[in-house]
Amino acid sequence: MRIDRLDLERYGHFTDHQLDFSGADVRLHIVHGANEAGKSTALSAICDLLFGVPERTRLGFRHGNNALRIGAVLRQPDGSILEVKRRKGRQNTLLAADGTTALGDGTLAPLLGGIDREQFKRLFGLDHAHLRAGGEAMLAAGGDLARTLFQAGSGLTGIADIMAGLQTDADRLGSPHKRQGSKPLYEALDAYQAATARMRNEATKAEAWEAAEKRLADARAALAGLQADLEKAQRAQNRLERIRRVRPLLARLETLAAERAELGMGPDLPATLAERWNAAQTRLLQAQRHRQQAAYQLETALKALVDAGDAPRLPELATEIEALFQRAGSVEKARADLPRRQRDLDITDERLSLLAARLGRNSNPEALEQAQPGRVLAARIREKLAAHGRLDGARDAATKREMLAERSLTDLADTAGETDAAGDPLAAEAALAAALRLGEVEKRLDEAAREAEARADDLVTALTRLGRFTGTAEALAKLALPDLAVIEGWTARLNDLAQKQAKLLDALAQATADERKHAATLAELAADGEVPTLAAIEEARRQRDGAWQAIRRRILEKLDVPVAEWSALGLEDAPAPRFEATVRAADQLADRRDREAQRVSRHARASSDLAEASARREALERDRKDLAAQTHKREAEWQGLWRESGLDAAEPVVMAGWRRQVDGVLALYRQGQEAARKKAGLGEEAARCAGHLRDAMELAGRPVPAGETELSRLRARADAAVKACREQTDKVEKRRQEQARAERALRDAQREKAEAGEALAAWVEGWATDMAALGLPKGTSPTEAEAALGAWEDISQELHGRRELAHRIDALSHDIRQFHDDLNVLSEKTIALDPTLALDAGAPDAANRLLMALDGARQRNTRRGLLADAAGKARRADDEAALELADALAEHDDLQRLHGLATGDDVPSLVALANRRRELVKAEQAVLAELAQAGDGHSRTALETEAAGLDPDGAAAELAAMGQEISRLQAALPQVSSDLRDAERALEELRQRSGIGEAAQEAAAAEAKAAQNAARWLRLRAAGLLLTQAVERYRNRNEHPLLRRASTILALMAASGGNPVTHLKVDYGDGDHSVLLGVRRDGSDVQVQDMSEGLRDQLFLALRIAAVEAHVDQSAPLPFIADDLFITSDESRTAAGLAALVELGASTQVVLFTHHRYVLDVAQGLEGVRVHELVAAA
Amino acid sequence: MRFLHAADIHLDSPLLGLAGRAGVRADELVGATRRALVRLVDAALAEPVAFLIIAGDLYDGDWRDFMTGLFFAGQMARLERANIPVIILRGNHDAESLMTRQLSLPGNVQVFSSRKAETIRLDDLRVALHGRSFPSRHVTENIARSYPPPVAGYLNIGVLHTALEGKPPHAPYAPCSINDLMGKGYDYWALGHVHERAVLAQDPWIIFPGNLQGRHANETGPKGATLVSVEEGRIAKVEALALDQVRWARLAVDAGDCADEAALGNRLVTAFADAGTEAEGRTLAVRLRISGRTPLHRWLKSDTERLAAEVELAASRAGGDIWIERIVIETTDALAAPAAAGDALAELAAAIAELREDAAARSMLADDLAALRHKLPPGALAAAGLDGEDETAMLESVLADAEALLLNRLAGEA
Repeated sequence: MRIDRLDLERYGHFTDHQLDFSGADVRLHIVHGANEAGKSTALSAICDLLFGVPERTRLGFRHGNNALRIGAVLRQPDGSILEVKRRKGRQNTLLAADGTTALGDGTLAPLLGGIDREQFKRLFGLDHAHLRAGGEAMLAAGGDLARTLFQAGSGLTGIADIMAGLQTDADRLGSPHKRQGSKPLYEALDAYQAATARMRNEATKAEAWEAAEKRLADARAALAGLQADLEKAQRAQNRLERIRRVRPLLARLETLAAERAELGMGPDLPATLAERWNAAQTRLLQAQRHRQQAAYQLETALKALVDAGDAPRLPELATEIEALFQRAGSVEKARADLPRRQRDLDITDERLSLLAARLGRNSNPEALEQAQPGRVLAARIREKLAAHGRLDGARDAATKREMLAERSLTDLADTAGETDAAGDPLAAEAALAAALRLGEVEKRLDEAAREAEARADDLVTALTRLGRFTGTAEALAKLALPDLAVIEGWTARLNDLAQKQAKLLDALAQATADERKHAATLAELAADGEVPTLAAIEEARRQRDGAWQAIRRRILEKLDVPVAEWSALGLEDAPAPRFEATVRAADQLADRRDREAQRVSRHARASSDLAEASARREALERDRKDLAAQTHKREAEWQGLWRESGLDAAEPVVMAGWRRQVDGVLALYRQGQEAARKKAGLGEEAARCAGHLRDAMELAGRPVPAGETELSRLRARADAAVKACREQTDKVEKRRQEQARAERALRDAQREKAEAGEALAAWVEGWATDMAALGLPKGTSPTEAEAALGAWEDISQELHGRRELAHRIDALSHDIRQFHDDLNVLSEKTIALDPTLALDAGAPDAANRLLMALDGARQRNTRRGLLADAAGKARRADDEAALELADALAEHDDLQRLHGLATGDDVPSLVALANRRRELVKAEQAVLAELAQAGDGHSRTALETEAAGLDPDGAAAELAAMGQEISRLQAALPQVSSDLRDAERALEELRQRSGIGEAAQEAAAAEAKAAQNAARWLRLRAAGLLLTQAVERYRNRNEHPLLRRASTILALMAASGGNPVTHLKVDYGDGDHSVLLGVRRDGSDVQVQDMSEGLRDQLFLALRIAAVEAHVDQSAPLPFIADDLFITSDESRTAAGLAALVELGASTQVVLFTHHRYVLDVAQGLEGVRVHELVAAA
Repeated sequence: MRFLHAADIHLDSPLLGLAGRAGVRADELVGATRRALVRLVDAALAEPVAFLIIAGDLYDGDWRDFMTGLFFAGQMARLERANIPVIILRGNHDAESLMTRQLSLPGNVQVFSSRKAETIRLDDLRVALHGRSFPSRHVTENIARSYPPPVAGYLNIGVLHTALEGKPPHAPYAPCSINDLMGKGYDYWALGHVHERAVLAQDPWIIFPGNLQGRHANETGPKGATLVSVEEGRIAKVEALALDQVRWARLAVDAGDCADEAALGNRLVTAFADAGTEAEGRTLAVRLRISGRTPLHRWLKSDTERLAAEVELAASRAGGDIWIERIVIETTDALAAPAAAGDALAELAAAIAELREDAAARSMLADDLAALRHKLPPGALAAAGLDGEDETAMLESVLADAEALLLNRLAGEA
């Protein structure tokens, strides 16, 4: 598929821009555009056209994404044309040439050969960055043939990185072939080992548990035994110590019993009685004294109270007196304020009488109140005043507009008749537009004529260049020639035969060389003496046996032996030595065979190899003959193929080139015919255009001057005529519209003036009624009415003030009167309670004097209260003294009665005797208690018995021995207890162990981790293996055709310089890694590493071009789009690169975008190049 | 009256396949079987039940650590204090001959004899339990037939560790048929050995309670014991109690219409959140299977580290404590293979496909596989899928993954 034309209708900043990529003879289209001219946009347009506009394109910035439109005329491989347009959208984005009919999004699929956008860019796109990356990748691969070919073939440049990445990733995980502890695989395996070791080491064994339990039981038993012994010893020690304790106590008891018997019997008086008795006596005396003092104090207090007299009653009125006193201040203030208020009232009345006089009315305030106009009336009159102003203004304005409109009409009437219309501008414009739509047809006509001429010239040149044929292009078109594909088939076939022959010759040479080599080996062995081969030994033995047979027959058996035989055996002179010599020779050979086994073996191998090489050479000779016959037959068939055309056929490869040239000539022929047709069509179009222009002038009322035929002048005249016609018509129309506007304004002004007059009449009628209501004559002017309304407003305000003043004066007078009434009433009440008070209610300070009387009464009351309190207190003290005396007497009597005492007893002596008896009893009880404690709970009798039966001296010795035994046992106790605690702790420690659960879980986790790493490692290894194998496989399949073609292209490119690379070759080196080499003109090799950067770029370009050619040979050809490939190349390299692209142009369409002017300069010297200028859009 | 029926506790056996990961609840995994046992005892005490049956495989094998036995004894002591009898039967994992160590158990625990089938009577409950422990690991005869006849007037319970008629993938231990069991005239068969809970019949009830705690990705869903209610000497109701500490789940996520990683991430979050809800807040161990025809296929196969990180992220977004046991990628490629003839990349794809079929290519990997088999412990080999006998199938699978990995890297380069 080729793009014949690319239409950038609305795309990026382009509008209706076309790039004409047609022309089968054009091998290379160079699109030149300065920076910002839209080179990248045009590049992007090709992809978007073929594969659709991406969802998030940025190229709708000018026209909007929905309006984006790219069109193209595509030429299909069969020569048919497909015109399409592409819009942006999700579906049905591919449209027919009409721009509306959807073609179906799969329409282009057969032309694209099933590749997608990314594949297209990778396979058919190349820019400088990728070119340089390709060169770098070859360098990185060290010229490795397989990788280099693969990278050039796929357009990918990172195969080495991917291989290295796979290897690095696998190494990072760790390999099972080599232990590296820091790698994840080994970390996981080590973790597994560590965890399983922990499981073994940390597991609690049953034996350990049992041992711990036994240890605990033993410790418990030891402690129990020790505790039993200790208890027994302590029991014996206790008994001896008890006897020792109780002996003195028993003796003391006997002594106390004797003293008690001596004291005898008496009253049992408590020890405290003596003290209590003395205290009761003292208290009685004190009570009698207190009683006398209290009686005296009571009498004194009662007398003072009687002296103070009765309580005053004035405080009963305290609340009323204090309230009245508080009001007195405000009453005094009111009394001072009243005259001022009265004066204000008089002034207000004077102002009112003045205002009333202004309106001619009575000044009586009540009459004025009645006569005030209502609020509704006042508001209505104010509204009417405002309406009167508005209506007056409207009438004046309408009158003014009326005058202006009349003046405009008069002016327009004066200018009538100055303009007049002629011609039909609409029809004239349509005719002119029809002509303009045809564009500058005369230029296109000229261009088509030049094109037709150029095509004809090209055809002549091409025919002249074409060898082997001398007729016309028509004759050439009719000539029966084999197709290019057929010729290329023959090329391959004959090449194949040639290759086979070359290989055969190589093999033959090798076989011959081998033959020579093995013969030389045999000769070399022979030169060192006879080789003791089996055959040689047999020969020697045969010689020996033959000699012996002859000697035996002749000497022993006396038989005749022929002389010839005798001498043949060398027995003529000395038969015996000769025989002995043969015997020795045979034996020596047999011995040497063992000694020289290696030599023998080498001889045997060389003999066998020689035979094999000879056989191989002979077989190859036969193959060569067969192949020669086959080649001869093929060549005859090849000639037969051309017989019908009458041409002599050269080699297929030459004829393929010639056939391509023929296709080029025929394409030029077809283009010439097409150009002629185009020229004729444009001639007709020019005539149509002239007709339209003439029509336009006639219709504009300006006929064509006779003899005017030139299209450009006609177009200018028609344009001027149509414009003039249009201006005249517009002027007439404008005056008509102005007159209509003035008439409409006059009518409106007159109507508004009449309406204002009517409204004023209605106003006058309502005004008279309102003036009557205001008490004014009906002829009152609005100004007078406004003044009257003002006076009424002032009166209203004065009346309001007057009302408030009068009300205030009344209130003050009332307060003063009320206060005097209340003072009189209170004075009367006061005198009723205390007639001693002489009050004058009319006095100015009456209230104050009332308050002072109240304070005096309150002070007297306080003093009297204090005296009453003192009397009460003296009475209570007297009562208490009486009670105290009664209590003391009762206590004295109670003591006598309770203890059976008679009056006059010596109570303290009786109490002392009773005390001694009680002390003896208490001492006895204390000893008994001590005995009970010391006797460990045994009874007194048992203790007396126990003490009686023991010798005191023997007991002491026994007690000492027992103490020692107990000390010994107690000393052993801490150790035994400690053992028990240790045993308990050991068991508890075992019990608290967490077990191996955690280690077991860790082991399981480590296994899982190792599994993940191992699985990943194996897959990375497998991926690396697959990639290596696949790349190698690609090399196997593509090495020869790709290299051959790339070699040709590189030679074309690198032809300049002192010692250029003329072809490529492969160094198979060690066999594992074949390497690509360049061969210079002088035969020296250059490795990729030693190539200059530019040469490497050229090599990669050559390989890419060869790969693209191979690709289009097998599937749908698509345009190859190169983007500024030569930005760092000098002129000669640029020329070489362009030549390579032209070469590729023979296989498929090639478009190079560049913004470098020098590329165009270089391209001028090349055939088959067309330059397109991309002009920056406005 | 109620009783509990549990089996296959495999006390102190670890959870398999979970690679190490730091986490707040990382210690949930350690001792999960112990905590499940504690929950069983808690449940018995909370009800409280009249007795507890453990129908075999209490232990995973001979104790590697004596503490295993002590721990069990400690839990039984809790039941003893509540006067709850425990009846234990030994199974193939803890058969008499396998257990070299013994421990005195509390008085409430009774173990069925392994010499012959016997009856244990709980007279105050009027319950008779019939059973026979495994004398050795491989009991291949039908021991159910030798069980004693039912005791008249008692609730009769058969306790048996069996694979029935050899339910795959379980080995045929103590084989018998359901008819054998039905013919005994018992009221309830308390079975053990099969780790998936199953109610095989209702008259009489024949029940596998399943194991108490799932231990690997093939033991998914709720795990626990069966609570049985008895009314008037008849089984009235059975119900499953979930007692597991860590819940295993196999999640299948279809990446079919996921256009990018974000879409897949959202789908994963939903799947994890649903599984978390189902697990009722337990720690969740997940085997994730991603399938479907998707443009993410090559990425899924290639960038395993980032995929693992994305999956962890989705798990953390879903909330809860989720462990990823393994991510199994079973997707197919929705991206078109490079189709253009003559294109080196297309030829590469074709070459890879051919090499996958090529025995020679596989043999080149065989050395690597052998080295791994030599280095890796058995558990790791199984987890990596390298323990099978069919080496060809193994290498075929490896090469298929490698192809996707490679195409992804090449696509990145293109």
